Amino acid sequence: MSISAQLADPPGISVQLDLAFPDVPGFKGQGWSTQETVMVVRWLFANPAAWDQAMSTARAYPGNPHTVADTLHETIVPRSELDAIAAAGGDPAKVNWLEIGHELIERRDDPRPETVTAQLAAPVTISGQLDLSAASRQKAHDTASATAKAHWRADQVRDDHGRWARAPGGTADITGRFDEAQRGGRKPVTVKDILAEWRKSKDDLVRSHLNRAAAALDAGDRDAAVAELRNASTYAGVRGSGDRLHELAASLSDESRTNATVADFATKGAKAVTGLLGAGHNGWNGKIDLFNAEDQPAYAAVLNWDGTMQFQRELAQKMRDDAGGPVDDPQPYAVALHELIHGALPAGGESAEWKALAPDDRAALDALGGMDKANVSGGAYATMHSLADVRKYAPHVTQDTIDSLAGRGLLEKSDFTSSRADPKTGEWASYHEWKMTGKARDMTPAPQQTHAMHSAAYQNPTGASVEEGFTELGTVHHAPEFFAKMGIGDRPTKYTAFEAGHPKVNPVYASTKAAVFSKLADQERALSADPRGPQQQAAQAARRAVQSLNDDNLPGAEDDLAELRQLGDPDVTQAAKSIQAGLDKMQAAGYAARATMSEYAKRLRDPGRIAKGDAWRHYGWQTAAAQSWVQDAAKAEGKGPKSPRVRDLADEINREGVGGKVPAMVRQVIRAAGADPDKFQGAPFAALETRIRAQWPQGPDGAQSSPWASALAAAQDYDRSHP
Amino acid sequence: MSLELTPDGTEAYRILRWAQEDPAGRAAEAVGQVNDLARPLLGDTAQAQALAEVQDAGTMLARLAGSLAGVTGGGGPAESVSGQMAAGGTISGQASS
Repeated sequence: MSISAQLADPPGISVQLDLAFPDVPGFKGQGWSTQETVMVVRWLFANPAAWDQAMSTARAYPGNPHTVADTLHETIVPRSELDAIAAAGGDPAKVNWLEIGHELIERRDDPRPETVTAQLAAPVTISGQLDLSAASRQKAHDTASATAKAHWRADQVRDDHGRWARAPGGTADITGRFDEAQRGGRKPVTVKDILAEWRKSKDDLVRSHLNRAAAALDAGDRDAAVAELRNASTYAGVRGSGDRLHELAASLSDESRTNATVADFATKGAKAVTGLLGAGHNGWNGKIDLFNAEDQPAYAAVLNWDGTMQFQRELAQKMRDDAGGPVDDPQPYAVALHELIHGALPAGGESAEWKALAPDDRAALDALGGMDKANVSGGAYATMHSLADVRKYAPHVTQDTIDSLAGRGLLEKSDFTSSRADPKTGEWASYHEWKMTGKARDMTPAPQQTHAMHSAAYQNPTGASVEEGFTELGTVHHAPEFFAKMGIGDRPTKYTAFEAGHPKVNPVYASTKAAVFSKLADQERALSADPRGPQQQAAQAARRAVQSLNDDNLPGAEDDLAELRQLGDPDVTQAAKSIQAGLDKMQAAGYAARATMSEYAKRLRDPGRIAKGDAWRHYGWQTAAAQSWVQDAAKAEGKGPKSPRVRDLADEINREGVGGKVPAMVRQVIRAAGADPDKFQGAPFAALETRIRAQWPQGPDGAQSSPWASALAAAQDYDRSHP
Repeated sequence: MSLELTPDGTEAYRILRWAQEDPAGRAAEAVGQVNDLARPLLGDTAQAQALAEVQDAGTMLARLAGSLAGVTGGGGPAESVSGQMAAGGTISGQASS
């Protein structure tokens, strides 16, 4: 049975209507001691004024939870709501006010969850929670989503006792054993898994929560699904069968945290990329889908055409488990940057009106717009086209679609019928034609900005190579600044830092070495001044140790130090211990400094490395080809191959989606030719696109040159011959 | 380091080109083939470059496969307005053919 079918006829609905203690999604199972407590918390979340009052109290009395509890009980929560608890079959005396007080105090510095505020703007009564009719289930689900989102932040997770577990710089881990299971290849929890549990369960209450969990997961709301699974686990636990559900909840929670890690990074990253490229906006739709490497080893991440980012779970887990120390593997961050650059789009794009249209409506208008662009005016005015014309580009469009668009004033029907022979039968048939109205043309995005045009452009092998080459070139160019903006630029990597072609000495190593050197020199002086034989021998050992240290021969210095200790002088032994500690510190720090993320990324963006496919080691020849193009374009402006202008020119192309990249290259050529762009409207422009695509490298051979010169010559010829 | 591909990378790009000749008919199968090519390379640090190249081709295949549904709204061969223009055809010519 599908989720939607279950929602229409939910298996547990009749039982839910008879619940003595209606559940409150998102709270029960996260540690609240009684259902009545949950109901009060739920009410607080749903009543912004009361919430603010409660939080103000918590902030005013952070050291006195009893005062907060009393204020809640006596002032904030009205008597009518306590009556409603009783009316619902609950016992107001079971509300644990102190528990709520503690919670509010603990969270007093948190911003009020905006999602909850927005979703629950309308006051909700506790008695209203009993309204679990099918119509209200969606609302309940939305509420669960909102509350769960408010609670299940990536960096702040409750433990199983309702306390907030925090981990500085990373994510809290409440499910270590399941993390291990995940790393061992555990499959993610699916709707099917939850439905299997639903079928096994004989308990209507558990089934009702499982039903909600499945619905939430089906809707893509993992957080709400986790909350519902925990509810189910709690109820099942009372009956002695909650472990399996707890495991499911924990596993899904882990999935949720991993997903949130990537989503949080990408949310911040999308803004950073827009700024770095000077783009208008990013086409990533905010959704992350994780997949197992074993299931789809053919790729690490893909930005789908609907804007969803698919991301390999193993890479995502590396990001999630990144606790803030040295970055073991910078690749996941570079991969995320690459995908976000794919999403970079120019300003404008698809309007709200456009997005509100049905897919077939958009497809029909897309097709008509594309055909208009190819008319003699280059799309300056609309021309008539038949349904058959439209269906060449949008096969799913029907006469009903056309009639509907015409009915909404988006298409205008011709006043006469045309006729033509069927190419197969030779029979003549008449047909109607339509053209886009001004209203439709206003709302239709420029052809190079439509979803259809981008995906169509990618089907051209050169279009795909150009897209990947420039996207990776943008990744290489912008990674240092991107990492800095993301707050990870200063993090050390496992790679050695270089300075003027030589390993850069670790500053910790250098400063400790200076201190150790000084202490050894002191010992050597003191011992040399003592004429006794053993002291003179020890002085020689100290001198050797100084030399070993000078040579950065730490094992040698340790051996020499051992001789000092053999002297048996307590003062010398104490000094030797201190020196040994310094040597240990030097050993741990290492001689060479580690490159930071940004330093490492800067090293990779050397044009020589890019030309050899030796930057981030992805799309080597495509990236080299893209670099050749922009280096040639920069040269035409009198700029060198390493000049910042090269990056600007690449950005100009990367600000466009797939369908807009080659046209952007054509505009660069026309600009370099010093020609009037208006002269190239329509066919001349298309001819330059064709030339670039035809001459673009198709593999490693020739990837270090570009068709720039050929395209520029063609543009100059056309300009000269069309004064 | 040069632009030359590893043997596995070469094979992955061969599969990509084969799929690009008939995206609607071959893209899905090609993704499967590249998956099979990539699987033994997973976790083998000595094969990191080969895996990167195979995944580059695999990513392009995945996007190619995804583009089919995106254009037609539900699978099937997709015709590209821009692609056909690039190939030198005219819309009006196609419409009357």
